Amino acid sequence: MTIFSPILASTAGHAVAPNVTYLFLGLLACMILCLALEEKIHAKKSVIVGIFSILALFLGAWFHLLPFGDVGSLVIGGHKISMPVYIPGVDWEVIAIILGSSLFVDVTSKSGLFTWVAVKLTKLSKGDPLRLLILYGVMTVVFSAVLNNVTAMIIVGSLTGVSLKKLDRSEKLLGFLLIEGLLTNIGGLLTLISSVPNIIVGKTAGIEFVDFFIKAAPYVVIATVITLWLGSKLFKISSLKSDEERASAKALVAGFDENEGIESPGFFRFGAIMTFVFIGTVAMTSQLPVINELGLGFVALAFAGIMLIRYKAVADRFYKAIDWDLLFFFVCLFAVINVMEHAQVLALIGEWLKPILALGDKTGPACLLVASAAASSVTDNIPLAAMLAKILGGMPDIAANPDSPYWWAVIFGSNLGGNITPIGSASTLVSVTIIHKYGLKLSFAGFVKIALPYALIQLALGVVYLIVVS
Amino acid sequence: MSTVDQFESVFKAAAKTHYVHEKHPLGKVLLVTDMDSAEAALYLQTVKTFLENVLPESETDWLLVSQNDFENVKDLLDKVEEHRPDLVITYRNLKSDAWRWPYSLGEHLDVLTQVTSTPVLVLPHPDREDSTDFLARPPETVMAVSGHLCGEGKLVGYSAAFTPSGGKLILSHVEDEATHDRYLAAIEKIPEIDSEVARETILSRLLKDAKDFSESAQTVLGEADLGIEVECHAKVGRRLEDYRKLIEEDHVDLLVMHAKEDDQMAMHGMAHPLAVELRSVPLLLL
Repeated sequence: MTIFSPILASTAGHAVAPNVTYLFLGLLACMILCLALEEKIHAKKSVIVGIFSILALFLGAWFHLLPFGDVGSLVIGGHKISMPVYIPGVDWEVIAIILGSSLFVDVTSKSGLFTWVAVKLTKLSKGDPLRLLILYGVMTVVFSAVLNNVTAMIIVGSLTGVSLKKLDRSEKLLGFLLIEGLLTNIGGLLTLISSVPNIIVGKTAGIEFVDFFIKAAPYVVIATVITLWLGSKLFKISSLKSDEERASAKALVAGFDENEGIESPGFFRFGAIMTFVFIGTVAMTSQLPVINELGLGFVALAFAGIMLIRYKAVADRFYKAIDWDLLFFFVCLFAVINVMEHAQVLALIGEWLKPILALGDKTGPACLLVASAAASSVTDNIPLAAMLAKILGGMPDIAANPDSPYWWAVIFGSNLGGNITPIGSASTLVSVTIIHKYGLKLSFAGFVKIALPYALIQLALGVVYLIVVS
Repeated sequence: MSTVDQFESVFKAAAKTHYVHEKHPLGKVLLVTDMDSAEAALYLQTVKTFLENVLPESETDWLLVSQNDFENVKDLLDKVEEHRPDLVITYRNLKSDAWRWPYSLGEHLDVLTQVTSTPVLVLPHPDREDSTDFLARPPETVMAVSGHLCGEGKLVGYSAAFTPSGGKLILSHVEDEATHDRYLAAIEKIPEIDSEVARETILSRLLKDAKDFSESAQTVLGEADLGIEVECHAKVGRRLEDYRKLIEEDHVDLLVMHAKEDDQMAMHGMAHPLAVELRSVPLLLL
């Protein structure tokens, strides 16, 4: 098979001098470095990528790389439309999915549904630490899959802090939060909309929601069981021994009131029904007439809009709460990657990937998985996923095959890489933030030291799984 | 995106403090008087009759300390230490006529309530003209007094123990309006805190915690089958004034409150003015 097409679709129209390509490559490297040092330079992602998008667009225009003529005279449905050159490069479907689903989750969380589930599971544990770890672990994975991994970590992490304090088991907090942080990235693998890399890669590859779930679920189950087992051993989280301890713990968790967060029982029921319908619609999008043409972004925005009717008078409060940093980050990132594509930087990186891809259908994806994980462990996994998706999408053999193991190598690698370092993914960063909020000391190196055994096992399992199923 | 703090708030609110009923021993009672032996013996009978519903003769070992048994505060403390009772019963301003003025409990009680861990039941002074009226009938309505009712299991437990079957227990919680207003005035000067949200939510949250705890006590005491009616009064107001009103409106026969505070030697902040000024109602000081 032809592993790599030397010319990317969008680059056929013009040639770029190598020194210009290297200049833009340097710019991309600087941006990735700045993103890796986000905490050190005290700058938000959107500002970092925004500055680089301004630079990239300016230099792109300076070197006559950008297709001003094309976007200046677009004809869509017989209508001539003019738009700025940086607009078509943005994947608005991805932006719509992220905006819609985060708004939907935010409004639905006001119904008290997620806190109800969380408190119910806490009571189900009867205060037994091991049972609590298992239930919180499963909840983290499911919430990461259904909501998104950052929201899942926020919900489960904040509950963990409160419940362990109530159970007088604060000494186990570090272990719980760390394991939950690691599980968010495993849960983030479960569905097409669980994490941003999944959305970007899945959409580029054309992977259907149900196919994604069927392929990812067995790995997620195995990795979750192993992570919980290892976590309970390494952090010495075991069951309560005596009847007295069990009775006392049961009485303490019985004090939790799952109905506390429910403002209106009617809205609670509506939120529960809408969550199931939302998941069902997302899963069935490609099969539903009309909806399949409007796409996942429409589904997410439509459900957010329906939920907002409950808060129609104060909808602006939810708009204020939207993570604009994340959304502007994506818009600017897509603009940067689009310029990089025109500057032949992606083609150049694709050339460098050639030796890996030439290793064959078993070793090649395995190496790409490990390389993606290593790269996304030190910088944001989203630019990596966006860039690799664009590169793989430019290779006809891979682009035409949604089942290609290379897509899955990027999906597994960019998600699991987040478990190697605390900056590898947004959800692990949230878990570390909660750890620090409770006054527990955990340095960058400390995190790596604790998390590395888990990450290595998960990666090894991912490689084996990819080889077996491909 | 909802922040960690927002979800943490929901979970903290969900982690409610429930009342756990514990029986407090009241089998050994020490009556301290400054009367001579004969008068003291008569007074003991009056007190026994007053408390017969909650301290039945058959289950209670009564001890008596009278005028000649103690000279000063140290002697009294030694007597309490010697007998180690479950309850001390006495009245204000022992060996003094300062009971006529509503300014103190007297040196003996001031020290006794702070030094001993034993609850002290303070009765109206026997020399009051209307003192016999107060002890004429057993207490039927008992009020637990607290500015922080949530988690006050001991207070509720003792209050329930002194409420006879068929009687009424009022769990009262008055948030001090002046303190609340002062905090709100400070919040109004802090740009980072939404004053409107603070005004709407802080008070209701404070009262809700008290109400939730009361409801839990209501359920648990109901399950314990004590035959008592439990009511909750949670409100904002001026503490002393509001307690006076509640006592009058509900015809309260006994007030129960904490007298000790962990971080100070003097009597609990709210207990002192109440104990000093509400002289016509028996008080159980924990």
